[in-house]
Amino acid sequence: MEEKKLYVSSGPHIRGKESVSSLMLSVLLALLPALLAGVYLFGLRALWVVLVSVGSCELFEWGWCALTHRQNTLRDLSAAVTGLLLGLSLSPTVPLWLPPVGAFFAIVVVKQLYGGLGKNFLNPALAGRCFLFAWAPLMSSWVAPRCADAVSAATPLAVMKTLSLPPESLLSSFLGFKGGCIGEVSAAALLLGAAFLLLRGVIRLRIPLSYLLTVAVLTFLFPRGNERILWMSHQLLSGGLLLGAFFMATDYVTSPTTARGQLLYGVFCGVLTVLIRYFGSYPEGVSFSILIMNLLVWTLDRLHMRRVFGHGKEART
Amino acid sequence: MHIGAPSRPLVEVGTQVKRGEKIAEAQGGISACLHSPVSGTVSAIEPHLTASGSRTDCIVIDSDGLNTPDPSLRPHPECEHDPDALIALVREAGITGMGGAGFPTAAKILSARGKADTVLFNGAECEPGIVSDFCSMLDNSPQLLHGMELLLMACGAEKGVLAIEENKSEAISLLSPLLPERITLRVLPTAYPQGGEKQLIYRSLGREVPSGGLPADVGCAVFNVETVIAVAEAVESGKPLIERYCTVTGTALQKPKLVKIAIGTPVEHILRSVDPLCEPRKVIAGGVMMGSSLFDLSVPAEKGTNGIFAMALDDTRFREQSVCIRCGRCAENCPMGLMPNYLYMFVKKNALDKLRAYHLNDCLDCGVCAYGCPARLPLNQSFRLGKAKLRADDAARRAREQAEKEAR
Repeated sequence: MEEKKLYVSSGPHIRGKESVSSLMLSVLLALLPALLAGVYLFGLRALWVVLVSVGSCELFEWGWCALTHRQNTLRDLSAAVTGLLLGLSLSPTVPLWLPPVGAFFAIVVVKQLYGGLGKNFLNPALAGRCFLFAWAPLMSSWVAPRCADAVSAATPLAVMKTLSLPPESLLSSFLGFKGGCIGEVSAAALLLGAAFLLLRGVIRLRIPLSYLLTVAVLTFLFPRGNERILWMSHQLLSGGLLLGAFFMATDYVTSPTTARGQLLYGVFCGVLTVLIRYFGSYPEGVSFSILIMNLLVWTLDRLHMRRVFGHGKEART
Repeated sequence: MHIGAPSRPLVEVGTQVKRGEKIAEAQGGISACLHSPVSGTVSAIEPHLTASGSRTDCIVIDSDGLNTPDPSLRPHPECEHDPDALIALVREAGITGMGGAGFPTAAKILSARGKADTVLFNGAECEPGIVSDFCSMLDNSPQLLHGMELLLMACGAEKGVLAIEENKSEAISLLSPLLPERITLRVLPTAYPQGGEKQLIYRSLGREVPSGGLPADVGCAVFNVETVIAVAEAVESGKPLIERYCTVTGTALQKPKLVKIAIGTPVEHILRSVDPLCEPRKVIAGGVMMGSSLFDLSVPAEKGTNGIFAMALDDTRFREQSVCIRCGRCAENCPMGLMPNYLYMFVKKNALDKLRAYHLNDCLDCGVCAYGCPARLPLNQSFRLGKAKLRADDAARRAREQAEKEAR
């Protein structure tokens, strides 16, 4: 008699379609407009920087897995996301040996040494980027967009540090015609990608909205020029704020999982960003703000757990 | 099969039984009587595999194919206005909750008696893909209306609420003009786990059953619509709970089918009544979210078996497991407001005090967390393990305290 074989497992017997790699792939796709804008504005050189960054992140991920005899985790695409974010947050002028150094720190030190995907408590791309500030002059030499012979230019935030409004019009700043990192300059491209992630349900509005609103309110209330609204708008469009708010502060691993925790996380990121921009020695504070808040994620989660159904207010632990 | 103490057989091997004849007596308050769904001869009383995967004493009856009804079954008009008589009849008729969990209905009425001001009738259909509640409402609307009145009377409640999910528009349009004044219709959004007792009460009445509490604690009682119909039938014709609606569906079948099954029919017989598309690779008794997959199709359908799914392949089998990326979907979706991402970590670490602090025992086991997990982690599955560990820990502590008391 032929034995009929049946699979047995514990319910649920159906699963949703989403997977870790499908989520990561969505992030990669959402960053494509920003990459294309960066390459258009800064030339093929920018593409090389990003490709080297992605390639070296992949290489270190693969190398680590091979070295430690673990299953190859390249397929979850998280290393590619780290590489893309790192590359996009670099100046197009950086020497090509710089991205691999940042990639090593991001993938090996920040991510894998702490246990790999899901266990790192800092955003790897941002940590890698900040590590590279050890070579600060290389990290902050900026060029004007659409210039064949790399004319150096001041970023809008550097201008605003001198308490005056940047020379660019709001529209050209929105489209990306300004100095800055490869992926951060075009607000239009970033918002396009962010809309895709929001519609696809990959990210939620809580963190980016509370982050941006906080920056908007603070810079509106305390402008450092006489054009209040213009000042606020340039603060929102300049630097890494949009890239950070939509693509880095929303990193699942290093952001809170509770709704209230997420809102507070965004607010604190915004406050820190404005404080660093106004009073810090760097013109930009998005990376540092997010990294600092990364360290508070578990505390925020614990303080703001949802009330458990059927428990009174004492449900909090 | 039902929750509570096993019942005691009243028949022996060789006894001739009629359809509807009582074959086992309930033992204790939370237990239920059993009745033969066919006429025939008792061929064995022996341990038999059941859907839960364990062996339970079962009465095996060889049907004579005639379905001769038990002549002693008669209408019980005396139960129309007498709560005690109705509860006794419900108990005698072996009626248990037919939504899945199978809690004896008489015990439920008793727990709600005098405490419930509102009785909820659950037509929300607990699991996706199952239409048993829906079709039983369409086919038996007079019995449903009668049964609702009977249960209101038995519980001593003033108001009733019939809760139906919005996608069952036929049932809504059929029933809403027929409802008496004291029973209101509540149309709920289609969602899972809408049919869960605590969720249904919250959604319909805005009342929150306290942790570890019963619906009676917030003044209500919940009955599945098919249970309501069974109660009405017991009063109208004396018919005990011997058959039920069962949705037979799944990717291994040509067309889904709703069948009325005799309780106790082996699952393989039920599957034979539906045209197959291919050999099933996975068979689930109950729903796709909370049902149990079977490794042996000779197990009997139970009073709570509202669906049987025959799947062409195991949907969960070919998915790669990753690691938690803290996306928070599980916590976002949990109907109880728990944090499965943290609970999973604590189960793996065996951190029992943390599991208590994060209220693991409030988990319904609905499986929403595992369904939506992009890393495909066995979330609710591991929570079952965690709950078992907590139970063992509690038992050990009680035993220790007992021993200390005795030593003193």
